[in-house]
Amino acid sequence: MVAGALTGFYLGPPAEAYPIHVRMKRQYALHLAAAIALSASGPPVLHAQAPAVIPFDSIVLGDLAAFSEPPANWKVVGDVAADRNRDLRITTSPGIGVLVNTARPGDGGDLRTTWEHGDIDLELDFMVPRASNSGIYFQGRYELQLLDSWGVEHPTYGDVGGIYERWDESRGPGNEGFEGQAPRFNAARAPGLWQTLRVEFRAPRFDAAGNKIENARFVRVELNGAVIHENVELSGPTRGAFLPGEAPTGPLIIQGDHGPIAFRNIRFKRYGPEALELSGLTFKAYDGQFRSLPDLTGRSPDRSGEPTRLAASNAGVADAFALVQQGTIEVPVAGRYLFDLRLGWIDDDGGDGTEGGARLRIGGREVLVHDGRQRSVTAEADLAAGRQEFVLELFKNREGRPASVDLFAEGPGVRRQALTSETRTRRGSAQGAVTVEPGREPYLLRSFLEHGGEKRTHVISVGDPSGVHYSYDAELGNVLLAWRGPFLETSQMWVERGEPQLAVPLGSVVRFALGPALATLNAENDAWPDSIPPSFGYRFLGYDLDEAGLPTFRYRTGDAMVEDRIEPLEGRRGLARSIRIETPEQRGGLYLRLARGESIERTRDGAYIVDGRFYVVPGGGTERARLRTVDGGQELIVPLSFRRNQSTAEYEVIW
Amino acid sequence: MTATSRITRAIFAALLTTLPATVAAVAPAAAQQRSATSSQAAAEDRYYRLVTIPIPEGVVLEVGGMTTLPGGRLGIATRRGEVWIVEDPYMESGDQPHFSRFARGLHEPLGLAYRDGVLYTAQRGELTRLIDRDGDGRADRYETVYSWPLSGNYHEYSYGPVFTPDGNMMVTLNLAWIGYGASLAKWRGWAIEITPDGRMTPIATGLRSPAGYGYNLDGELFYAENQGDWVGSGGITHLERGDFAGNPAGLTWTNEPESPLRLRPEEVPDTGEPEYVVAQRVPELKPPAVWFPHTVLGISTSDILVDSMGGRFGPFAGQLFVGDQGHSRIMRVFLEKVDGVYQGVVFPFREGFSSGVLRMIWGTDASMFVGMTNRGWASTGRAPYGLQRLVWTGEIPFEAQKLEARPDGFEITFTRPVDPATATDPASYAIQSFTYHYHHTYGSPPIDQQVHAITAVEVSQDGLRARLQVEGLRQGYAHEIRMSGVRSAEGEPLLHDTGYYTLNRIPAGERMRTTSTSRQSTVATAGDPNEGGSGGTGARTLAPAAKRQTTIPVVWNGSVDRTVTIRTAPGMRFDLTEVTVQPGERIRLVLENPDDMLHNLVVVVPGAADRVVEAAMNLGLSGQARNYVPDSPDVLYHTALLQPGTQEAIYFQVPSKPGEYPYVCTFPGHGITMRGVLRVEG
Repeated sequence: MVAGALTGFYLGPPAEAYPIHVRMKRQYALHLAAAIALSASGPPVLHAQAPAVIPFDSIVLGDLAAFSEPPANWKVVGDVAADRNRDLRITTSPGIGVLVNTARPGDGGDLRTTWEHGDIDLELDFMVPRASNSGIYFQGRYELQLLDSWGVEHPTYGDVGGIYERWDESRGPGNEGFEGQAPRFNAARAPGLWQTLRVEFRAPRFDAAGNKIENARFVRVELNGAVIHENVELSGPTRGAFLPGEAPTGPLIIQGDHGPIAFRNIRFKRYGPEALELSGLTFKAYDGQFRSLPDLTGRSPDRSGEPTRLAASNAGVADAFALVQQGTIEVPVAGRYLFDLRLGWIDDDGGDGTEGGARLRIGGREVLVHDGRQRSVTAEADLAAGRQEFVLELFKNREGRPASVDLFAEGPGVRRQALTSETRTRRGSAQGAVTVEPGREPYLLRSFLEHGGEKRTHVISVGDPSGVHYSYDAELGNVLLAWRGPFLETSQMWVERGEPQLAVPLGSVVRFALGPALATLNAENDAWPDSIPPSFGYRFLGYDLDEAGLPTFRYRTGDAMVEDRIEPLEGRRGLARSIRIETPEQRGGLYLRLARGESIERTRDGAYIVDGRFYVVPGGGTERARLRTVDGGQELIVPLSFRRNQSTAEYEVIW
Repeated sequence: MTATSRITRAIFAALLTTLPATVAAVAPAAAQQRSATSSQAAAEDRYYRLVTIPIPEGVVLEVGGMTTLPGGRLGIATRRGEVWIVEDPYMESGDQPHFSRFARGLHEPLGLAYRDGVLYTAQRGELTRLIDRDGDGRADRYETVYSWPLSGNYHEYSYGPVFTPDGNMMVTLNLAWIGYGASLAKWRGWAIEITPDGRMTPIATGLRSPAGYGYNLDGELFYAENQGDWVGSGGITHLERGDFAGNPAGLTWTNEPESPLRLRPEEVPDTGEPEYVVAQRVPELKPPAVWFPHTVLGISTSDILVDSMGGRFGPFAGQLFVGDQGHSRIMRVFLEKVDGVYQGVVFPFREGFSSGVLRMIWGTDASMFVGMTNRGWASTGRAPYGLQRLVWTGEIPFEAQKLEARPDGFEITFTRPVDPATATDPASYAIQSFTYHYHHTYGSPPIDQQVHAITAVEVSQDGLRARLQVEGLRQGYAHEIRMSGVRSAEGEPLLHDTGYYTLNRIPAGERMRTTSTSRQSTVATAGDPNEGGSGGTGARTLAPAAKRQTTIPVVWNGSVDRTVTIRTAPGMRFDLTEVTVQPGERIRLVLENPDDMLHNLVVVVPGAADRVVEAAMNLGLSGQARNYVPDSPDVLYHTALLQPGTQEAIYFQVPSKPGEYPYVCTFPGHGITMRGVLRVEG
């Protein structure tokens, strides 16, 4: 198969691992992946295999054992709810799994982990009640701000995700604070919703004498799926740091005296400063068309030497060879390591095992066998600390494909690293990224758009000058996603020619379930369709723009004419939707689905929280919306009632 | 001379006296930026002048569609989804034309049409009506006339609409590309007709990349096709309801009730026989009315525009102009109908446009507006986009105005009287015929070439016509007709001396009687078709083995010092643009071609890249058989011309002299961007 043969050209890691300018070089692979998915059936699936990694550690929130001397204002509970309309209000329900601070500002104490960290990857969900404030101090010294910053148009270093200022009295009155770093934009969610923070932090480095030789750094900070910082260097601790000076390690400290806050799903990986190191390498190369990993005992190599680096090119030939590379590996910490070995000449969709293979041995033990039946093979192994023998044997028996080998390793306290040095020498021309912003009027842009791993083909994204944007699927008559922040990145469609031609939302995105907004159900318990069946007689008719440039989408479903208007709420809070339906004659059985999620909860004020991620507030014509349990989750639906052949349904989505 | 041509000529004479003044008035000297990139373009500019229309800073005018609007304005749809209204594009005021944005946010619109106050455009996924309801000069209703499904493949371009004579709209749907052309959603690879109220009828299929189409003066539809899988070379094809134009992918949908034909994809033989031959067995198959030999006359045909100007644009009324994106040029086609089948001849017409020609429309003054973009496909005109106007100066070029088939040869009608001595000499002409493979492979070299003796020539009394008696015309073949020896009465050569006539039918009728006034050839002209630089046979292998060594040289004892893998990338690029090697190293160079076009890689001596690219371009008909590698000492090493999805390894030893040795894809049109440097370290 032609497409299958072509896939083999893709040698790199998953597209998401690259910054945008490099990622564009990877589009061809995505295109082919899509092509293969298509050759089966259904819509194209955009898949990129995630790299195998060692799982995160978790703070098990069965109790507070992970924290040293926890103050009484911190508790483990089963769930929390924060009233979005009332300052500092948080309520709890018993159970485990959620960490909450119930103290009001000025009361309460801070929470510190029993453990210390240097370099760390930290991921967690947090919930801030209205007007509340907290912060996470890495190493007890460098604060990332948590605050209810919902609705703030131009966030500062003091808003959620901001890197709070350093402080130096000697700079003189009014100038003490410096190096505060605002997030790139406000990715905050509404109070009472769960928000997600992902941080890669690098600790300061010190020489043997204890002098600092490298500043601490927030390598990358992601709030609610949007990157808000990259490589922000910290010349010293934040004002009000809990611990004096700077040090290789320190505990994670959560501020507890500025107001209530809750956390869940706290996951982390801690790393030491050390890495795996190879030394004393030698190689032996054997020419020949091997069909499996050969026994080379007694055979003299065609070439041998002492290379400076681990690389397939040490073989000296490209097509058919066996190569043994040997040396010493220094394992900094004993424990379980994960190895990921990629033979670049094996096709994405696999080989028959005769085109290549490899074996990795450390300390005399086999830690990984690559059978040549897929490009990438991962294996875990328990290694002792210290210097040990390292042997990588491999063979290649495939013409015309580069002899490239990538070996990655990750371990306890050892960040993922490449042990091969030739890992990637290919560089494409980096095309400039093109972004689109609405300007003074809404910008409507039709494009392909990714949703849930699927390429949607008839999508109209609406960028509003207020900074609240959404994407509308013309084949479903429904909203796919919504976001605040910058609008769209269009390089794929405006600069590149090949796949995947997607427009990419730039802000912090809220995704809604795929499916039509309106459906005719014969019985109230009928399943909601994922796509529109032909029997609905659906036809998209386009959109009208009003004076302000805001669209009203128009479509027909059966004999019903639908006008669907979605506009940003005041204060950038979310979107208001108003659906007007007109039919030539009375009809029943037409339903509106306001939301679908794994779990939907009703709040005291009559709103619903969907998966903790957004609010749905019923309005005119949807007051009688009811929750129903469906396969794999819950839905909020309402039967539409008609007066004089007309029906109007309104609701708000707030996040 | 026929009555018609006499009248036409009288009109030209009249126009000659009036038009130059008009042209001067509409094109202020200050704004006349001539584009003369070559001596040919400079010669053409004397008759058809290029005027560049300035585009405001910040407007990315990648023209996808273009139409005239009332009041002498233009409407232009861009690939970034905007629609611009251009006021005073003729610059009669002397000022820069004014651009205002009518609409934005469309999904890669590749067409624009105007009817009754409303603009129509095909986006990737639908035909859209753009309406300005409140009269503020901006669209406020984007109305879906008809929506079609997409698989989401990047190659699913949608073109149009073009209004049919009945007031409906024709739209053409490009195939997807997944290593080959495929129809992954309904009606991809088809021309479909849509009524203003949104009813759709599929018309014809077999289309691969139908970027341009239009009607001739008889209201018959022609579309332009690009070389590709099942398409040996570019050309234009007459499309009627139920036609199958060659690429079988669209036949996937012929079991749908609306399909006007029932032919199934598996019924199309993939034997490599010429399309004309296969069409004898597969009656639905419609071979091109005119083949455009690839790289000789274009590499990516685009729009078709009929000369409906009745002589106001020069002596080619009723003929078709066909644009080419990659070559930034326009070709001219004269069509005739023989036994109910369209066929005809293509000539070069005008080159030197600033970017890739995609759209052509008539201005109110009988000048031709040419809208351009080259995004994703490099073009000879190197600007990323542009808008130019082609204005006839009123001077009549010395050209073959038309070329018609006769039972025993061809009859050429010239625009101006010829010099009888040269025009009656058979040696002034040369004719050879050829055809192409019809197969799933991407493109075809010209095959089965044959030289035809010209046995007699007769020139009419008025010196405007020459009748050629040709030995052994071949039905179904394209015939290259060179007229390089013919001079005008004033002694000029033809502005374009070669045409390509596709002889789908040999007409019946009176054969030529050789009389004392006609000159007969005394020597047989048959010979090596490669002489003169435009020949070549598919079988000929010209590459000296040393320049394209595809097995490891024996003396290397099975070892290479270095393997370099270079890959093609979409947008005509190599993924590696710099490779550092050591003098004398034994290299195995692998060229992988995952792109959707043909590519090669040629390593040349320092500083020779442009020379080699140009020499490759000039290989003409024989180019593909030679892998587009000129026989030149500038060429050091090269690969074959690789099909999409294939690769080749070549072996060579790095020159001992340090320096920067360029490598380049010499496929015509690619060499501008597709380059890299082999750096030999000192």
